[in-house]
Order: sequence, then structure tokens, then C-alpha cells
Amino acid sequence: MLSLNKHSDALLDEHGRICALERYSVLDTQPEPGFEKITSVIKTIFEVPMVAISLIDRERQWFKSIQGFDKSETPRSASFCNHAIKTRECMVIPDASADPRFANSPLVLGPPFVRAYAGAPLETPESYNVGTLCVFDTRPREFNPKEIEVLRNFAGLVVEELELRQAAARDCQTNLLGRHAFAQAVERVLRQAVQSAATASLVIFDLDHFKSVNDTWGHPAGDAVIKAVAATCSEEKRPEDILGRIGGEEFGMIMPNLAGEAAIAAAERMRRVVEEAVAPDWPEIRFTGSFGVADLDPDVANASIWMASADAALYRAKAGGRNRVAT
Amino acid sequence: MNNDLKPNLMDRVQATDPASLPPGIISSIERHKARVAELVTALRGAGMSDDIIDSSVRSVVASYEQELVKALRDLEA
Repeated sequence: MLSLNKHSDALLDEHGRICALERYSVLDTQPEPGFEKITSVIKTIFEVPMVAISLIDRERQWFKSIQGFDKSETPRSASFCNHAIKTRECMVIPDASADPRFANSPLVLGPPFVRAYAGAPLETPESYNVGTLCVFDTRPREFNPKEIEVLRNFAGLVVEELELRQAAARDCQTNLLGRHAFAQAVERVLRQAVQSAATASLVIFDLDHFKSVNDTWGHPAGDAVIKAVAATCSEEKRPEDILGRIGGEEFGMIMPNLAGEAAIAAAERMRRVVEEAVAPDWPEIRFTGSFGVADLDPDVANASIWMASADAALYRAKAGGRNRVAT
Repeated sequence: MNNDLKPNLMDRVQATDPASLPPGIISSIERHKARVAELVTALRGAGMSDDIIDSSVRSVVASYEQELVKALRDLEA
């Protein structure tokens, strides 16, 4: 029952949905041949003038691939897909001009003069609908259940490709973002925060005297400690926080929309859960971490400077005696 | 499927120590395989011709293959 509830709750969790979409890091990227091929073959199968992989962002729908319509995005308010993501089923509109939700839509009254629509949600493994794979026609038409099943299958394959990118970006031991992917996430959050005049903080932390864990207990114990820290911090962080493993015993966490005392408090909570964490099979090993916090100040010109700033704060935490948070 | 890439790709996947692959990659490959089989069933059920089924499978496999090659390259980097 728990999984069923989570499944339905995800439809109402817009914040979680946006976080799930942002994790794919696909918005505003260039067209890619793989997705173009998929939409092209769907256009042939359904004999429709328009096909799109549509991703529903906060205020817009953005097309990762689109056939038959010369725009890369439209306002979310005008989007058919914005309705389609609110259900687990495919949404079918045989005649938009006869549907009060869409009859006055600019996409119906003006170019591309949509009349019929079918959209299959792009559902992530966490049950968030981040967008749709959809087909449009300029004349009224029905879509039979077998056609809808085909569309639903293609939608699953689109999600699988996005998931593969996610999987490849992960550190194999902890399943956190790897160093390269984490650095890209720092750049993305910095760019978004600057664009929207939002706050953000970056935490870099590492385990104190980790070498002695390996030397005393052996590398399997060291690996277990690293996994325990990753699991504990993953549970403690907010859904929108981004956690990565950026070195052997070094981790990073990006905290969007958090700065100053609130960011220090979040890092302190993280320090405490690390201190209390237990590695399965190695309960006798105690470990702590040192944390450096850097807000996204106006003088942070790029991701490297931001990371260097958090790294300098980590150095101060180490120099101050370890097992502490410093700025 | 891109036949130039296939042997090279499979060699690389098979030669890679599974422990060095992020856990999600192996399961993604399995899920993708199952989804392609489901797609073929759905296309047949919808009365599509063999040509359409072939080109559909070729498109989705080629697209996924490109992603997988890129993922393996990134891992090697």
C-alpha cells in the first residue's frame, strides 16, 4: 500500500516533480539524433503532422524533440501536456475544439491548429510525470487502445534513455553523483540561481582521518564507512539538495534556495548524522566529518570559484580541529 | 542497429568489470531490453507491418546504443 500511496502522491507533488525533471539535466540542451529518430518513427506510425517529447518545466513546456512545429517551447498554461502529466493514463483528445479545456487554446485557434491530441506521460522510476511523448493532428481523430499502447511503450523507452544518463553519472560505490556530474550540477545550479536571483549554498565535506580507518580495519571496512555516509546523508538531505562523491572520502552537497545561517544549520545537521552513522557489519568503527560551507555570493563568478570557496571553508574546519562546520 | 558499433560496444560492456559499473547501468540495459520486446508486441498488436516494426526497433536501439557508448566513454574518462 505504501508504494501505491507514493505512486499517487507523486502526481500532486509539483516540487518533487520539478526536482525529478532537473535531475535529468536535459532542459535547454541541443536536439539529439537519438530522440529525433524516435519522434520521426512515431510520426510515420501514427500518420500525424506533429510529434513531441515535451518536458513540463515550472512555467513552460520545452520540447526535447519536436516534429512538425517550429518552436522549442510554449507557455505551460497553453500546453495540452500540462493536463496529461496529471494522470497515470494516456490523455486522448479526439477534438480539441469540442473540449472546453482546450477550445480557446492559442494552439487550437492559431498555429499549429491542433485538433486531436494523444499524450503518454514520461513517468520516472519515482513515479513523477516529467513530461509526455505526444502526437498531434490538425483534424479530429480517434486513437484506439492499441495505438495508445504503442505510444505508452515508446514513452517508456524515452524515459529509459534519460535514466541511462543518470545511471552513468553515478559513482558505482555509493550511487551518488560522480565528480564530473557533480561539477556539472554546480554549474547548472549557479546559472539558475543567478538567472532567478535566488540563493544557494555549496557544502564540501570529508571524513576525518579516513586513512586510519583503512589502515586499522582494512579497505572493506573503509568501503562500508563510505557507503554508510552516502546513505545517511542521502536520507538527511532535502529532495532538492544534490549530493555527490567528489573524491575518495570527499563529498559535496548543493543546497538551492538556502544560504547564511540556514545553510550552516543544514550542514551542522549533516555533520551530526555522519557522527552518529554506523557502517553495517562494522559497528565498532566511529567516524566524523569536517564541513565547509560557501554561499553563492555576488563575487562568485563561476563554479570553480564557488567550489574553491567551499573547499577553503573545509580547510578551516580541518584547521579548527575537525568534526565541525566552517564558512 | 549500427553494426559498426555493436561488436565494439558489446566487447566493452562484457569486458567491463560489473563492479566498476554504476549499478543503474546494468539494470537499465535489462529494462531497455524488456521494453523493446514489449514495444514489438504492441506494434504487432496494432497491426503494424514488419517494415515499420523493424524501423521502430532499429531507431530505439540505435538511440539507446548511442547513449550507452557515451556512458561507457564517460566512465573510461
